[in-house]
Amino acid sequence: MAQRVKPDWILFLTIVLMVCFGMVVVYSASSVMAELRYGSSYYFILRQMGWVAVSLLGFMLFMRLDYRKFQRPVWALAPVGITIALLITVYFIGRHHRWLTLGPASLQPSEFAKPALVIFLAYFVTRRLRAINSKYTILPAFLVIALVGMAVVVADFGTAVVLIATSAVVFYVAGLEKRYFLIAIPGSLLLAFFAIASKPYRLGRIIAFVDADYSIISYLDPHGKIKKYVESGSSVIDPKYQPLQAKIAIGSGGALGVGLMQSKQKLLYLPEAHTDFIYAVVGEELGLWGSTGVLAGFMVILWRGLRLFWLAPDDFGKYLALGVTAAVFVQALMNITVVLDLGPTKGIPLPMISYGGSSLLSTLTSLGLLLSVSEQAG
Amino acid sequence: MDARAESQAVSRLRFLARVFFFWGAVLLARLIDLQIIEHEELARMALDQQQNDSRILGPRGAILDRNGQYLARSLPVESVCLDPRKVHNLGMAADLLARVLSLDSDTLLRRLVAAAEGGRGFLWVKRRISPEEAQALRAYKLDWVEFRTETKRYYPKGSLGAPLIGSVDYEEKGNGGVELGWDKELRGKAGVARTTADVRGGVIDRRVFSEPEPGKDLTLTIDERVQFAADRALRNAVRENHCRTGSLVVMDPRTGDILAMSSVVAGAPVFDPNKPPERGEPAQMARLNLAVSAPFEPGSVFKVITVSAALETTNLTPETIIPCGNGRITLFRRVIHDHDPYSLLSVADVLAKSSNIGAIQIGLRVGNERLYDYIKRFGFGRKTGVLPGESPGIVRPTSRWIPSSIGSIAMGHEVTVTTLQLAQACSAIANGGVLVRPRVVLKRQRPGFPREAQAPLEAPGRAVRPETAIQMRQMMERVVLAGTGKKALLEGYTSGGKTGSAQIYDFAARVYTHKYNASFMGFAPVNNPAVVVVVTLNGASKYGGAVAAPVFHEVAAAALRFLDVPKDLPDRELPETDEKPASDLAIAEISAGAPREEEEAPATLNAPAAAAALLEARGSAPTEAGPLLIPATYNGPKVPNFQGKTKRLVIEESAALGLLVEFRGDGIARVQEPPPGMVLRPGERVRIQFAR
Repeated sequence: MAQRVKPDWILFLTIVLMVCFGMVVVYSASSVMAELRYGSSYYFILRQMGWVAVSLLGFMLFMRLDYRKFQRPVWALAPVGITIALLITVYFIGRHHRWLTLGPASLQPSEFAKPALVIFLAYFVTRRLRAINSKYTILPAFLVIALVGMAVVVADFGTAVVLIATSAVVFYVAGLEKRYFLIAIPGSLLLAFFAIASKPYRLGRIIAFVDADYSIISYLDPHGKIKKYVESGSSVIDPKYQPLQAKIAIGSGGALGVGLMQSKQKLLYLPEAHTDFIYAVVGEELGLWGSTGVLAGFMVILWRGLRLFWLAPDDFGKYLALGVTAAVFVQALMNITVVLDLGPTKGIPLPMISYGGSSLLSTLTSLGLLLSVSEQAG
Repeated sequence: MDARAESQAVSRLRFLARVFFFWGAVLLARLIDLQIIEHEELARMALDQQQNDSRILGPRGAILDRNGQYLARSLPVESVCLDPRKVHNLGMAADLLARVLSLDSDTLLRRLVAAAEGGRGFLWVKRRISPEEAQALRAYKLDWVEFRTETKRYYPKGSLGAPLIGSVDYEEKGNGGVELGWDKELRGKAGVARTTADVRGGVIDRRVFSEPEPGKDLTLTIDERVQFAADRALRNAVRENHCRTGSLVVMDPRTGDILAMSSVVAGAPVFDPNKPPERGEPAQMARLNLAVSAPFEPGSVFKVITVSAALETTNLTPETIIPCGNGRITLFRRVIHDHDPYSLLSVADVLAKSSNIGAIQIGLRVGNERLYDYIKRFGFGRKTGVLPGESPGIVRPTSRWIPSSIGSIAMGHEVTVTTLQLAQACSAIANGGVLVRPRVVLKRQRPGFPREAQAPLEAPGRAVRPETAIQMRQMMERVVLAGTGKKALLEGYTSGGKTGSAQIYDFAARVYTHKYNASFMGFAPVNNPAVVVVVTLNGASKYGGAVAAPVFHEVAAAALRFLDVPKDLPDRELPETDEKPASDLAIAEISAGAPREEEEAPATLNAPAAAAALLEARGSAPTEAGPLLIPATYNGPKVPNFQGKTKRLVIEESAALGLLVEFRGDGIARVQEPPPGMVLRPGERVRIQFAR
C-alpha cells in the first residue's frame, strides 16, 4: 500500500478555478434569458451556485476517500444498474425523456452514467487485464457498455458518444486487440446510424454539418424523402443557425473579447448560450485569451490525468484515472469542437463551465476520484 | 501487469495522448482562425444582426410661394405603437384601441396576434392620429401603449400647383415635383440613433449619436395667386375644348423665375397631395407635371425660332418679301400646301399669318446647320434641369435629317419640345436675347438660421442678339394685333405671341389626325416683358389661336395685375371679337379650304400706333383717357410710349420730338401721364415716373 503523499495541487487548483470561472460565465450568459423568462437575472446563477456547493462537497468527499474502496463488484455494478434503471424510468415518465424531477432539483440520469461506467471499466479491466482479449471476458463487458450506450442513446445521444469513446480509450490502453475494434467500430457506427436516423433533429444536425444544402443527398435521394423526414422534426429553426451564431460570437470576441458581461450574442441570438454553447460566450466576452485559457485548463487536466497512469500505485487507480480523464477531456473537446463548427451539433455540455447541476455533480465526483488517485500516487 | 503488457499499454497511451494533444492543437488553430483571422468579418456580421442604426428625421422644411404663403408644411402629430409581448390580453387591447382610434377591431386583433406569435416587439397601431384621438387614448393611461411624435405633411392650398409641388410618401419622403427634386434639402440631416436589439427586436439599448437637423424651408418662385389663375384657366380650357391634356407655364423672362406651372389631364380626379394616392391611370397621370415631362410637336410656335435664325444669319429683314408659291411648294418631291394660299408675304407677315410655305422658304435660306444651331441655342433638345422627371424633348442632329426635314422643322414638326422649353425660348426673345435658365426655387433657409444668400442666377448664354430679339418682339406683337393670335390681346397692356397648331400624328394608324396640339406662347408688355405665358392644349379640335390664346389672355392679365406691372396702354374695353378662329395650321396636308378670316392689319410695327389704329378702326373710345383724346386736327406731336424705356432713351426721344418731360424717380419708365398716343396741348408736359 502506497504512502499517502499529497494531492495534485495543480489539478486541484485548475478544477476549482474552472468551476469558479464557470459560475461567472453562467451568470453572464444566462442573466438576460433569466430576466426574460423568469423575471430575475439571478434565476440560473442561484441554482448553479447551489449545485456548485453540492458538487464541490461531493468533489472533496471523493477526493478524501480512498478510491480503492470502489474496487469491489458492488461499486462496479450497482451504479451501472441503477443508472440504467433510472434511464429507463426517465424515458417513460420524465420530462423530455431526460430529466428526473426530485423536489426542487431535476437530475439528468444520463450524466451519472459517466462515473458509473468509468468505475465499472476500471474494475473490469483491472480484474481481467491478462485475459482481456478472451471472448469470455470481453463479451459481458461489451454487453454492459452496449446496454448503457443503448439506454443513454434513447435520451441523450451526445453523452452516449462520450461514453463509447471513453470505453474505447480504456479498452485500447488495456491492450484489447485491434480485431475487436474492427468489430466494435462498425458495430457502434451501425448503432450510431440507427440512433441518428431515429430522430429527425439528429439527422438534421449531421446533414447541416456535412451537406447543408443537400447537394449530395439530393443526388442519392432524388425524391427528397430524407429532406422531408428531417424537416418533419419539431425543430423549426435552421440547423445551421446555431453553429453560425456560435461562430459569430467567438469571432466577434477577437483577441481581447468584448468584455465580461458584454456579450451581445447571448441576447437570444445564440440558443443554449448558458449550456451547450457557453464556450461561445467565453470566446465573445474574453476573446482569444479566455477561450484559449479554458482550452488550456482541459489540457492541464489531460496532462495531470494521464500522468497518473504512470504514477498510480495500482492498476485500478491507473484505469480509473484514465477513464475519468478521458471522459472529461473527450466531452470538453467535443463540446468545443461543436461550438467552433468543426463537428455536428450533439448537445453535450462543457464540463465544469456549462449550466447544469447533473453535469457538474457527475463531473466533479469523477474528478474527485481522479484527485483521490493522485493523493495515493507517488 | 507484466512488463510486455505494460510497455504496450504505455505506448498505446502515448499514442492516445498525442491524438488528444493534436485535437487540442486543432481547436487552438481554429480559435486563432475565428478570433484573429476572421474576426473582422464575424464582428461585422454580429453588428449587422444586433445593431440597427435608425434615422431620426428632423422636421421637414416648409414650401412657400414667393410671397411667403405656405404651400406645404409639416406639423407634428402623434402615432400609436405598442410592444405586443407586453400586452396581456390581446383581445381586450384590440377592442379598446379599435374603439378609441376608430379602427376595425378584427383586423387589429389579427395584426396583434400575428405580431405576438412572431415574437415581434413593435407594432404600429395607427399612425398620425388626430389630437382628439390622442387625448382620448391618453385618458386611459395604458402603460403598454406608446405614443411617438411624427410629422404630417399638410398642403394648405390643396391641389393648387400640385403636380409642380409634388407630394410625400408615408415616410415623408418626396415622391414627385419639388418635394422630390429638393428632397435632400427639405429633409435636412437625419440624426442617427443606434439601437442594440435582441433576436426578437426588443430594444436593449438606444443611444443617439447625432441629433437631427431640421430641413430647409424652400421659397418657390411660384406666385400662389398666379398659380391659382393658371390652374383655373387651364382646367376650364381643357374642359371646354374637350382636350386630352393641357399644360401651362408662366415665367418671368428676366430671371427665369417660374411664376406658375399647371398641368391638367381631362377626366382625371384632381390631384390633392393631402389625400392618399388614388389608384388608376388617370389619377397617376394627374400627378404628372406635363409642362416638363410631356414633349410634343410644337407646330407653328416654332416658326419664331426659324425667323430668329433667319434674321441673324441671313440678309432677311422683317420687311423682306418671301414668295409663298400660292399655297403650294414642292420640297424634295414632297408637296406641301398652305392652309391659305399667299403669293407674297413679308417675313413679318409670314409669322403673323403663320404661313407654312413662308416658313419653309425662310428655313431653306437659313440652312440645316444654322437652323439646328439656333434650335439648340434656344435651349431645345436638352433638359432645363429645373425639376425631376423632365424630358429633354427630341431634336435630331442634322446628320439624321432627311432632305425634307428642314421644311418640317422650320414649321415645328419632326422635333418635340416641352411647354417649359417653349417658355424658356420665348423668354429669350422677351428679355433681349438672353437664354435664362428656368428656376423654381427662389431661396432656401434653415429655420432659426440666418437666411442663406439667394442662389445667384447662373450666367446665362445668349440665344440671339438684342436687336434680333427686339425685332422678334415687334413681329410677335403683330401676330396678336393683326395675325392669328388676336384673342391674346390684353386690356391695358401690349402683348406679343405666336400661335401654333400641330396635327397630332397617330402612330398606330400612321396618319395625321384632326386633333391638334394647340399652343400659344406670348409675353407682355411688349417693350419690357414682365411675364411669358406658354399654353399647350393637347388633343384640341381647334387651332391654337382659338383655344390657347384665350388662356394666355386670362392668365397673362391675372399675372400682370398680381405683379403690379405698370400698364402701357390706356385702359379700354376690348372689342368683342366674333371672328372665326385664326388658321395657323402648320401641317400642309390639310385641304386648302380652311376658313379664311385674316383681316389686313396695319403694316406698321409701332405697337402703340398700331393699337391706336386698331382703336380707331373699332371706333371705340378709351374709357378713362377719354377726355384727353385730342382730335387729330391738333398738330402737336403724339406722345410716344415711354414705358419700359431707360431715362436716357426717354430723354433722347422726347428731345427729338420736342416734348417737355418731367422726371420722377430713377430706373425704367413705369407710368407716364398722359398715356401714349395722346397729343399734347401746347405747353403741357409729359410726367414720367421711373422705378427700378
